[in-house]
Amino acid sequence: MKPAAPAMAEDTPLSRPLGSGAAIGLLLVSACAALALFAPLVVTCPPGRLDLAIAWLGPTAGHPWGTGDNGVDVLSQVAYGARVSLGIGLAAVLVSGTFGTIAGAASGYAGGLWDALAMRVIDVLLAFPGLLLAIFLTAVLGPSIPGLVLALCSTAWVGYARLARAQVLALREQGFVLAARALGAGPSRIVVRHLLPNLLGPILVQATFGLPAAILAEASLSFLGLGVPPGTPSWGALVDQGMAHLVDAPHVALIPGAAIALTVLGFNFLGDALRDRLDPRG
Amino acid sequence: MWAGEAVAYAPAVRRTTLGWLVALPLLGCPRAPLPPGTVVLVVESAPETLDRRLALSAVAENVSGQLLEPGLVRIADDGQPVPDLAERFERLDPATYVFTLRPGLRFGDGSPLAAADVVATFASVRDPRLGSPVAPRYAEIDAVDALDDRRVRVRLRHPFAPFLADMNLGIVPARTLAAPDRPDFGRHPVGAGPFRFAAWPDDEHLLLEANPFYYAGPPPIRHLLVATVRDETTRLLELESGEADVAFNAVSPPMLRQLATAPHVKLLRRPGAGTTYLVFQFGDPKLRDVRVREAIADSIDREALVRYKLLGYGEVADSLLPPSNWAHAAQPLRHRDLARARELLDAAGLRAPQGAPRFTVSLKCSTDRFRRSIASAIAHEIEETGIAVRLEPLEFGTFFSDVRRGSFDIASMKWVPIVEPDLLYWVFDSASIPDAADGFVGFNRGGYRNPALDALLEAARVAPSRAERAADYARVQAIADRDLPYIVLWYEDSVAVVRDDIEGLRISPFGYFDGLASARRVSP
Repeated sequence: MKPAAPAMAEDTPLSRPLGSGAAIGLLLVSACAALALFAPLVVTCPPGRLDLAIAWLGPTAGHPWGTGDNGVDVLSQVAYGARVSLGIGLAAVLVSGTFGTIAGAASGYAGGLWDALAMRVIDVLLAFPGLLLAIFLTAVLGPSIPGLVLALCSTAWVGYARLARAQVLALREQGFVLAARALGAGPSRIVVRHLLPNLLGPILVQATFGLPAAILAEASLSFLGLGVPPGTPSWGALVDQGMAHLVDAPHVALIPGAAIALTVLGFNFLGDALRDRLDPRG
Repeated sequence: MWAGEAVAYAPAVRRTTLGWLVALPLLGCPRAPLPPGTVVLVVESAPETLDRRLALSAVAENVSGQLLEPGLVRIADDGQPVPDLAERFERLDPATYVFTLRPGLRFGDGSPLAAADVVATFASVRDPRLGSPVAPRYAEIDAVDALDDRRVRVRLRHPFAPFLADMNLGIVPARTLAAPDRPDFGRHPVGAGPFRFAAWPDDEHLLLEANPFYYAGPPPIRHLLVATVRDETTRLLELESGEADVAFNAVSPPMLRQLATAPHVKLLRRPGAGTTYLVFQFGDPKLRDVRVREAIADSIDREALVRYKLLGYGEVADSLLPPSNWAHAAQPLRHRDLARARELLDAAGLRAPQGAPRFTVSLKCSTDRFRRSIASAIAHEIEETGIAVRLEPLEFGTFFSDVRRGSFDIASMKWVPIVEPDLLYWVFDSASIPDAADGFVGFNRGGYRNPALDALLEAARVAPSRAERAADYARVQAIADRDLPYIVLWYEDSVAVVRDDIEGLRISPFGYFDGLASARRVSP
């Protein structure tokens, strides 16, 4: 037990100022979200339109961010690509977060053989390079968005499971759980009503870091030609397209590259700020 | 006199070879000293063998067939076989030919090349124990005999005109075939070509030297290094920096644009003999309708694709056979006509329900960035007719295996440079439809059948004169243009990228390396 200093009473995580990191993060993330939401209003031509005659050109009136391979409009590719990136990232985090949390919490609460078994599976998956497994899965499943989300979730869920299990192990010995059990609550009620709400903070922090990781992984897979189906606007695929023209048309790789970097940076700043506030260890 | 020279030369060869064997492994960066004046030819993949009989890849065929081991005939630019090691050939009757060797022929090691070597070479390639991938080309041969030291008689089982073009098989010394304890021929080849083998210290570096016994005289290039650089950008940089001197068809058009303005590098080009095309699967009930195939053909803007995707390094195609081929028959050029394409689809009963596509087809292509980009442009053009196209870029091994098995709706492919018009038989005859029983050897991968066309193709194989063959093939090309089992797109130029101090390099429409025999480096 630490001696309680007078100032400690006011210094709860929630009372700390947000800081400039969070402001920058919020700004970047909102900019990306706005680009995705208002894509049809931002762009000057639809993302699927090709015109061979105007390939690899710099900015013009009709194409403010220039054009890429086969004359695709870079602005519309980046704007609609934001929808794809954010959509896939959110879906991957939602699926892996839900599955991982439930699996981890259940395993931690049940304990014993089930727990040991689940933890060994998680150890194996943690030791496996995630991107490699995702490459394998996308190669087997073929290019499709649900397949891509599944591939991204294949290893991402273990992080949530480890976190949820560790929290549950600590929480289940606490007084309020014992009280609930003494009152006759069953295991599922205890997990759902008493444990999960207490897990949400750390899981939310983990998800904030999981989202940029998923966006980055989607971009990597699309860069390798294994991500979204051909023709779907994607930041990673656009960077791949621009790689061969870094000398004569650098904007085609640099603009989506910057979009990926800034979005990931924004989410990481936001995650840091969130952790400072919500993490009990913070 | 010849023998004396050979003896005098041999020890020198061994000394220099040994020297470079030690020096070559240090190649790469920084490159170790090469023999002064060495010309560096950069290729995309390492030759898997230097034995022409066993070569599979274009690079291996080229290095072994064009530089090291020439055959009785070589292929002229129009696809006709002309004398090479043979000074002439005559047809005694429709199924018997006699080849007369040039006088005084010698292999690169100085030993004489005689009719017995020709007989042994053909016996070995047809021997199933060798497992030569080109053996089926010689299945029509009944017997090869030496009439005397310089004359070889080839008897066929039945008249078979395309066989002459396959007499370019590299002749190898009979004694290397007889002795089983010799080191692997494919790693230590002996031939009678303009160059001879010097050293092959590692996969990426193969050193050849001028053959002093070559019948046309040794080539001006004394040493030729065949360097493998797999990455296209690296090939480009090596040519720009002068680390490499020559590349044949190893740089794609988007990269050529960058080289066109580079100092000390020149681009040599001529119309090529490789045809790029789309092939349809006739097993698909919609694609089986000629109106649908015609609509798709009408939707493609080939002029724009050649201008903007190939940057002009090509020519719009009108037939599977390139215009340089002796059997080419010009067909009317198709121009993009979307209105007509839509009418044809309507007439075929494939109207679009409100807002939905008429139907969906898949278009398979390789994942190569350039090919995929072309395929996506083509897919976009087809979609403007109301057909939905699902583009499926596949890693080359998977793609090629799918194509061989006929597992595609539409596939985008390119033929290796076309020499012998009998290819049309392999591509369009119903006997060439691949199936599992024959190991998918036929090239009629779409399963196209037309009895009239089959009859013409089979007649052209046995036609007694070239004029009659050409007439048959002209009718075949007209039928293929009407039936559209293929949509021929364009012929890609044969392009050599050459440092400006290399002169006299002749480029071949087939991408052959033989032009190096006449090239020289001029001192600045």
